[in-house]
Amino acid sequence: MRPARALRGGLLLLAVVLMLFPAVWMLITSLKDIQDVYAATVFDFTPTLDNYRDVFVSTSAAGGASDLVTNFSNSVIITALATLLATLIGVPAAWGFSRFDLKGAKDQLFFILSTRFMPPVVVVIPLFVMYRWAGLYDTRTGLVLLYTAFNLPFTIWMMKGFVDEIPGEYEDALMMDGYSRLQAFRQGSLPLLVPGILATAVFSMIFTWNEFTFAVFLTGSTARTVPPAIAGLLGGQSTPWGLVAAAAMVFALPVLAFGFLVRKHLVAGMTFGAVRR
Amino acid sequence: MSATTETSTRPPRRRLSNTARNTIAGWGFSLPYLLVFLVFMAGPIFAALWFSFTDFELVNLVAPFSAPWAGFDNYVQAVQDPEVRKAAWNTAVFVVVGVPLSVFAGLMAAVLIENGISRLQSVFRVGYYLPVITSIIAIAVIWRFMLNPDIGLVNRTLALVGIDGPSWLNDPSTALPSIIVMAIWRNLGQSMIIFLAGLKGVPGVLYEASRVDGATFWQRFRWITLPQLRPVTLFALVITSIGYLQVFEEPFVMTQGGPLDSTVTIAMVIYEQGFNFFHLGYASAIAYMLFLFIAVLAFVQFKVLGQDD
Repeated sequence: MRPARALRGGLLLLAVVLMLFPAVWMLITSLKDIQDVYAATVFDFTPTLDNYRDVFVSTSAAGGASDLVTNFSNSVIITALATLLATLIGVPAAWGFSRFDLKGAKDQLFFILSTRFMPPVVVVIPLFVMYRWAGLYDTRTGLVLLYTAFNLPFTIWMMKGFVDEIPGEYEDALMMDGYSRLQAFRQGSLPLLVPGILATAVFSMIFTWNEFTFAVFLTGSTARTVPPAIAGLLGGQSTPWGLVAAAAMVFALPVLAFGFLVRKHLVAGMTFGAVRR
Repeated sequence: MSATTETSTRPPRRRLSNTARNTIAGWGFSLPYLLVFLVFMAGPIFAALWFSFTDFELVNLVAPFSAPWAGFDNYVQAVQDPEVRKAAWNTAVFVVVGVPLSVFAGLMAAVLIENGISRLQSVFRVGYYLPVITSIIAIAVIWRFMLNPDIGLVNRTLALVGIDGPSWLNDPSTALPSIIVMAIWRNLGQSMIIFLAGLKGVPGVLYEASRVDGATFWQRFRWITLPQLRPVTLFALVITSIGYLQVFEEPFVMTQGGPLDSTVTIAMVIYEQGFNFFHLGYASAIAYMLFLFIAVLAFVQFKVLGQDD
């Protein structure tokens, strides 16, 4: 048994190194100037933060903010607003689905889940036409609305699970005491739902922050978010690998931090709530 | 596993009018969602179907209803289009090779973590799930750099042992396999998380009983773990296949579909036709075929693999 166990442990360790090393290498690359990126040695170099500076400050003679700063501020604003809206609309809806015996609620929930199976490339062409027609193409508003819509099914599905876990008696008791249905929800269930709401919101943030397909189809330069912008850096003849690596690091770090915060709910979040624990 | 069951402890409603009021209130709460659903999902799905039967081009953007009717022309053209065929083939290879390997790798990782290590479990879990929540763009960028023929980590490592590595993403014979390996690397974490959750649900009594009977590790795996994980496996297969059928970001960032169309996928063709050439009707027809295929595949997988439940 012992050697087998050691072998398994060794295999796992090797696999984890394989999983993490690309990230470590990217970190190293982001700290190199252009000569060191192309140098023959991997680890022998003088670390520099120039690439990180270039993410935020333009390299042109005039100085000022770089294009990536615009992309990052777009991403921050769009992610924050879309998450907020999805939570504000989604939590009451989830509560409604959970607490009321609705005719047709099952069908609605099925529809909500089925949107998970819908390829973005199918709806993106009509959305493109609609956005061009309505003046929403390449606007932050357009992306906020779209991401709110696409975060909602997930928010409702996750939150319904959390509401289901809280017995309805709290609210019933408060209603006996003369509270209205809404007051009973606010006083009775809402405080208990806060951790669930935060976890769900973090997942919405991660999805929105990372989203690429809609962003690349529905934005030009004004409202462009970070993922298509980073992809755009790769276009030319010689790729500025140090800058790309630094931008990718700055882009990925918040997600890793947030992912760590919701690690307990990771299974539910990654599987759209289908597998809870 | 799924905890979305109704709470049965609620007291019965007192009056009928109350029920009616509750129904109205309940629908009221879901109304904003329903509106959003109609505008951003149901509407576009029907619009895409309609576009797919028209010659919708750039000029029709100002007046969407002016696009001339084309009947099934777009579909006929798509089936005969060599690039669509090439893309369908590449996507099929991606799914047929990539899905089983991703799910299998995830299962292996989950079983190893569950059985091998107890103290460092959380560290290992983090190591595997990081790629899943990290943006695919960041990952594709890293891999494109790692596979760079001159300065990439892979060929530098190969050079250490005297092997002259190929020009991975610039060679039609290695480009698609490279992208498949990257996809497996990225997605095994997702399967692993699903399987870890599934393994927690396997009753410990079964293992204890089998130990008493003298079953080996592999016998336990074959006759207890695998059958118990069946629903979870189904779920992992379905969501991985649906994701892989839409593969877009990986070739978009790493190869732009090249070299010689060797990594062009269905989603890439939709992008090219729709947004480079603005053949929006034609692109919609290809998108709809993909959509129907995904729907049918999900349905069949549930039917075939879920028949015991």
